Amino acid sequence: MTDSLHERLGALARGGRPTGNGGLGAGAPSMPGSTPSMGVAALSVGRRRRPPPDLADILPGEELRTDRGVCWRHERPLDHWPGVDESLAERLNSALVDPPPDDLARDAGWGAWRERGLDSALFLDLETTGLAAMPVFLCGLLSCHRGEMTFRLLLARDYSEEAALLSAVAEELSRRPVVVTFNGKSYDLPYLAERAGRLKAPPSRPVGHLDLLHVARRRWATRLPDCRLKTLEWHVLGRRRGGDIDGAEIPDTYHRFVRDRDPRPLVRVMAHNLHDLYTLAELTVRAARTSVPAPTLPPGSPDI
Amino acid sequence: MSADLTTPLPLRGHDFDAFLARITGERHYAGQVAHVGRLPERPARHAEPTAPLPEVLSRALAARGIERLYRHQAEAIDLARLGHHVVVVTGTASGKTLAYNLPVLEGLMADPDATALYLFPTKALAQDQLKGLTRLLESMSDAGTGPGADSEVDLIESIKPGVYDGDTSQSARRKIRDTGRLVLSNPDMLHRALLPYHGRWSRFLSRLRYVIVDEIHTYRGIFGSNVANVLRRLRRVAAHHGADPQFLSSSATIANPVELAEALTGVATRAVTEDGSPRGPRWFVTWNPPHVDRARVERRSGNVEAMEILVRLVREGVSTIVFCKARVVAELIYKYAHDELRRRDGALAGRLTPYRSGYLPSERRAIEKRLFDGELLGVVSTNALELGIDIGSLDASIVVGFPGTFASVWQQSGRAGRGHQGSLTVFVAYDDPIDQYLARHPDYFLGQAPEAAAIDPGNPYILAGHVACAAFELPLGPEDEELFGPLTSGVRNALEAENQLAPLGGLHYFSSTDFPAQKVNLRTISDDTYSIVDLTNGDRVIGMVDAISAPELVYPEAIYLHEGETWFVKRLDMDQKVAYVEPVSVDYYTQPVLDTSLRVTERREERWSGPERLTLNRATVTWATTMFKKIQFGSTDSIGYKNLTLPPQHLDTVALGWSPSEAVRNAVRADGRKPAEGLSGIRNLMITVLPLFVMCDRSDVGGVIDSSNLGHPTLFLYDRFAGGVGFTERGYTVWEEMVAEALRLLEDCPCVDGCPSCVGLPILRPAQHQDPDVMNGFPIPDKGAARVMLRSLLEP
Repeated sequence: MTDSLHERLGALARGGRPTGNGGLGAGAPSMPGSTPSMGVAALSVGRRRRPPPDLADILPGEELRTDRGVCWRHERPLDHWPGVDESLAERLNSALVDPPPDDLARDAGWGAWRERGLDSALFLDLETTGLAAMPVFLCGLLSCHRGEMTFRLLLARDYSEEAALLSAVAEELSRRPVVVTFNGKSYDLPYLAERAGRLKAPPSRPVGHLDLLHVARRRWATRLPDCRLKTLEWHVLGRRRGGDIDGAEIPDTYHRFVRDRDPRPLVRVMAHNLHDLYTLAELTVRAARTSVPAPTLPPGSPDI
Repeated sequence: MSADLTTPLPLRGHDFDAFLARITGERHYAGQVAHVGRLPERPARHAEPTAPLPEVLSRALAARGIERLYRHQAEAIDLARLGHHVVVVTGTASGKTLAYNLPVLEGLMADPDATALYLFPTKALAQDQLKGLTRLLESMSDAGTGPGADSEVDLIESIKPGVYDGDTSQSARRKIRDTGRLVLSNPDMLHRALLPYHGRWSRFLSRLRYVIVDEIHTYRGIFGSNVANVLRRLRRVAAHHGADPQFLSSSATIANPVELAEALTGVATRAVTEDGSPRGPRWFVTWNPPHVDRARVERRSGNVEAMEILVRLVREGVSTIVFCKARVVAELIYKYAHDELRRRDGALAGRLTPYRSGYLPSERRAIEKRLFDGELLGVVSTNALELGIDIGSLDASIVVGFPGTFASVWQQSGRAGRGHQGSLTVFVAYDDPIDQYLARHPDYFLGQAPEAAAIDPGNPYILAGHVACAAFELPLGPEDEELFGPLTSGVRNALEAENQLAPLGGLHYFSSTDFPAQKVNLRTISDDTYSIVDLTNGDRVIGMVDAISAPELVYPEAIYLHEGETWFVKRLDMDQKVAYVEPVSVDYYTQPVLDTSLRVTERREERWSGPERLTLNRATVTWATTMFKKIQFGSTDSIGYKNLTLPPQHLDTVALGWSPSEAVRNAVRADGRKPAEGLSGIRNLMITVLPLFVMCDRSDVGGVIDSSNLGHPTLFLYDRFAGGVGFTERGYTVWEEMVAEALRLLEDCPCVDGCPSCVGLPILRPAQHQDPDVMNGFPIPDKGAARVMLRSLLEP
């Protein structure tokens, strides 16, 4: 217990008037647009500050209506980002159509995808505020439609929008029932299930699940120091990110956003999420090839 | 004489009158038997529930030797069927467990989706209950016959009970979460593992029909205050998933079982108190060790007396259990008794066993079996074993030293007595003020239990942790104020100011990366403790002491006693909360002198007690150790003193205030005595007497005389825990009885002018209080002043 909390509780124990910021936040529901009302806590007392930019300016998109309220959706064609290989959709399609390596051929998730075609899959990656049982705030999705890859980001602009976010994810999965993840079997899907059970939001039930972590372990574990996504990114794809946000900072970045409504730090979270999904898609292509060895880091190379 | 150990016990059991006559008739008998109480035999009283039990249940019970139910079991079933929340308050071995197992099993059979959660204070108890339930369910499976038997068996199989605690494997946990219908657990697990992850438990919670809370008298003080909040969080989360479970509890005999059950659960509760189980005649002996010398100052060791009684009983073939206050005492008594038996009666030594906590279930079962077969005649244990763990019943119980509560004495005594046979309980008194007082007043053991269990779930320091946990579980809404109490909004605001909660759209969401359940320990208020570190041994931590006691025990240059060794405090770091000590061999001890003051910050309640004013307040107690005295061992002469400048400590807590009227003060002056001294003496008496009425220790409360608040000397008694946990609050309710008891204690004490056993400072609290109005303190206040003051209160 921090000293300041102890002191505030002491005031209650002494029977004085409660300290802190008055009563409940303003009873108004989320206003349309990008900045829901925050009650008293958001006011900065004292010096004047320039108000932070609108979420829509930083992460253009729209409010998405679901049966559990609203959340924010940002959508863009994947090739909008420089550095993205435009042939990704094509390569994914070949990977899916060509005869796969044996281990993938036995994989139920791969089979479900193959059966339904390229457009039936959703590459999915969650950003959460903790390791378990803490709110989910962002879901990144990559999908293909008629040869074009699209990136979609669903965001709970504050904790009250999480149920809508979960509902939106369930809705996406109902339309694209095969999910491709990295460690989704142990993390992302159970996480969604727990939060949905908790908030009584619609559950996400994919028909097929291809978890690249399992594939990577089978395929490359003996030749790599570990099977973390960034390790695979470097050793298998030969790419490395610069200035990526540390995963451990993500929860606090979100909590701060909810408090001060400044969307600018969120850009790094979005970039991280997008990167993860892109890597996931490229790894999927790579995994479908039979005999390409994983390149290894030359000894003595500096780690950026 | 030696008893024939091979013939079966006579129907009526041992003749304890004859046994006692043999003892008191001996030449060396020194008058230890202070009192013999006899409780008559009580026949079984049976009853039928209003509607009969399902046949499969009655058949299963019959298969286990139970043809009829006792009336308290039938009553509990009836109340449970009507949907009431129930607390069953009957003695040990009264079949309390069936009183809640039967309605639960009936309910789980009637509704194939319904679930039940059982909460026990210890893991061992849960394991034992699992065994009992499994056996009952097996009998139910075997008993099923006739059409539909197969589907009935399937239904019974679906109720596979499972223990969910820290030792449960991950795969077992998953299975229980996904399919379990009857889950046995404990409050810590509920708090840390189930509630924070309630999304995984939605199936179980949405169908939760029953919550069993066993041995609720153990949920008192800080622990009880925390558990009360955990149970409220459970109700809240269950409601979210659509369930409103029924609470079925059990309690040992205490003064306020319904009040406690309702304070713990927040729901109106009905009590079942008429015990229908049979009881043979009971002998209750108070045994006071004799004085060792003619000066009649010291008494012989209670441990040695207990050992001798044990040896006697074992040699006469009376199966006996001994309860000791500390493990080291249990080991000692076992060893002495074992050696003595080996010396006198070779084979008998092997029929004695110690019983330690931490035994594996298999080890416990081995002991149980040997007791049941008559192979074992003696068990030496600590008080930890008094809870309902099934080791069967014995013929005699020896209670060595007052275990702290009367409820404990009864639990321990209840271990003796098989069916209709007679049983013997021997309470061996230590040379301690309370034990000696009880030796002179055995009516405490034989009358109604006067003590109550006290909790204060609204204590803001305790509530804060749980409000954070509740917000983590589900966003806080306006209805939570009603659930958690009037301080909820204040606590919520405090958490919001700390960025732990964020208000959004009328609700408060948990908004931090912390995992709040991790930070709440159900057995403490905060982790405000000092480590005691051995400088000469690589800074090894040798002990802990709470922050409130630290300035009294580990001030710089104090001689600190720890596990029988003396340590010198070289340095006290109050920021880091560390006391650095080194072992030392000295012939003196140190006694601190504390400057204590109290400031009332809010008056909560007030009333008249006769012509005197009694108040219940929120108050801040401030104290500082200003000096200490060095006192030679054995002589009580002060051989020096030293001043100290330690920063004062503050404690925001709850305090009872009592101001004697001018009339009473004049009565004391008229007798040529000082009212302030009288008050000091009464303060010390009240600290000793309060634990007779509420289940706490003397060291849990403090007292100070202060006139700065009201302008005249006022006695304040306060809980030595931040925010208060209900002890002095209870004292406020029973003040008049405390006054009567204090006078009784004072009159009873054979000293003339006062001593540490009555108006003096209790021996356990070495600190000498310097009250603000009392110059130089009174180590032993004038007994006469206290007497006059107390008498004038009781005489109208």
